[in-house]
Amino acid sequence: MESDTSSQSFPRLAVGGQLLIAGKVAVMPHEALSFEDHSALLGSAAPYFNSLHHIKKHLAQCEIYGRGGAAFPLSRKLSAYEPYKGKLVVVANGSESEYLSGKDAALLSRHPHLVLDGLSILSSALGAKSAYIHVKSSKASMVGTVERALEERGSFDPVTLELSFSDSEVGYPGGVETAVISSISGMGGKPIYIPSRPILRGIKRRPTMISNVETLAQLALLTRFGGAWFSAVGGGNEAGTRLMTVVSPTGISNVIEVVAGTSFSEVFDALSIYRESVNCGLLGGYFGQLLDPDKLWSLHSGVHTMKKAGLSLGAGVVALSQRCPLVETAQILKYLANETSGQCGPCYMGLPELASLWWELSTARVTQKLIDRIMRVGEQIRGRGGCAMPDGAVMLSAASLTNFRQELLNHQSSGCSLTNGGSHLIPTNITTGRN
Amino acid sequence: MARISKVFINPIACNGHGMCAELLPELIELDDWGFPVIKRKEVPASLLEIARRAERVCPTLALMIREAP
Repeated sequence: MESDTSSQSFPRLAVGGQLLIAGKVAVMPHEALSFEDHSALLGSAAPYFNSLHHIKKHLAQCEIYGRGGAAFPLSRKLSAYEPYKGKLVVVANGSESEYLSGKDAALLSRHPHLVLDGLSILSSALGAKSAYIHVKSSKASMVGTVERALEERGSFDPVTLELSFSDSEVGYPGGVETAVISSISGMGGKPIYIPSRPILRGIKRRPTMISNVETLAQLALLTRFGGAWFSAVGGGNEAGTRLMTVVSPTGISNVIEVVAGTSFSEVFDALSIYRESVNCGLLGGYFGQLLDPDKLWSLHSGVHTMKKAGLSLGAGVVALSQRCPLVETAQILKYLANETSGQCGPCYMGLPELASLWWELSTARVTQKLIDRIMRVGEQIRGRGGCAMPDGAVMLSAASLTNFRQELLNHQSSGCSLTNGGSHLIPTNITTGRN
Repeated sequence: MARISKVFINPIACNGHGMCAELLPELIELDDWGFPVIKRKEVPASLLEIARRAERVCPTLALMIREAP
């Protein structure tokens, strides 16, 4: 089953080039790879329909960390669902509600069958009752691609793969696990409250395993080519590659594939992004934090090294900015306050206040009273939403207070020294200003 | 494992009427916006009856007293 590709040399970085099948494809297809071409590229599909036992053996050789944002080890997730074998619903989550992220859409529009293979492998190994590929209805061309891909597969998969859409009206929280459950169950697609262990009472009240589409694509490659091939790139206990969305300080978004553990300075060099043009960068999307450029340029992208530094790459987003980090924090919080589903008090009351306080902090004078209030509001929001979005906002706020002490002092004495044009870190239809 | 009664609040259903904090100040307080914060999850036997009453009168049925390990 192991192919001989492990000896091939891999590019360290693939900028707009290869996606996920480093060393197998010469160029990234401009349009979706058909099932026929996909099968020709990867060889006969038969050997990679594995039992759960085989998948776990592969994962013991090289772990896959969840690519939806939480970086949870797939082997542990599988162990948690194993007792429910035969009763499960499995979902490939491609809703990618993180505005800055483009990797899931890039993957699905070019290699839909790689994701569907992963979904198929997982659902047959777990004996799933149903399997869904869940995408955002607003991304019409991607939906069309996935629809076509499912048609091409016909009755190839042991478990029928179904397409489902999220409601485009639901904003940022639309990608939350309980929101996906709600959407597929026809309950509107907002996060729902399922007391204690929602995973066990999900779609059709069955245990529901939701995995990011990139995680499943990686699983398809790992089971197809084996651990040796998979770990031919990367280092330490982290193997393979990962997709990242890098937004340049001028707002150009690039989806790239990087070898696990690649340093960010290498990534930025490859994209011709220079340290001098950057004043801060958002690492890990809206669940991450803003960092100063010195810190960003010294970081490595490995899950473990990041974790040690108290950081996370989230869904693989790094977005750079020329603007003042305090202004950016205020902008992002304003955006998140707008994205609330309006369901939980601490979120729809707390986030607008937090955003408003940050707006004052970034544009008027910095006072201790203001900082104290920001911290107090944060403490009251934390852990009290039906989903984790408000927690993400609070963490971002707290991190900016810690990471930009010097800027706070500068603002206190002489205000903001930077000219702040439009932000690239939030959608452009969000207007600046107080709520 | 002994099962004891605990307070749960469904944050999505809760509209911040605040009756729970009124009836159970020992366990629940209100935040700056009038929404309940659970100070103590476990319901002592002496408060069980009044906790059940609070559960019944919650206008949105967001407050729940459940036996949990």
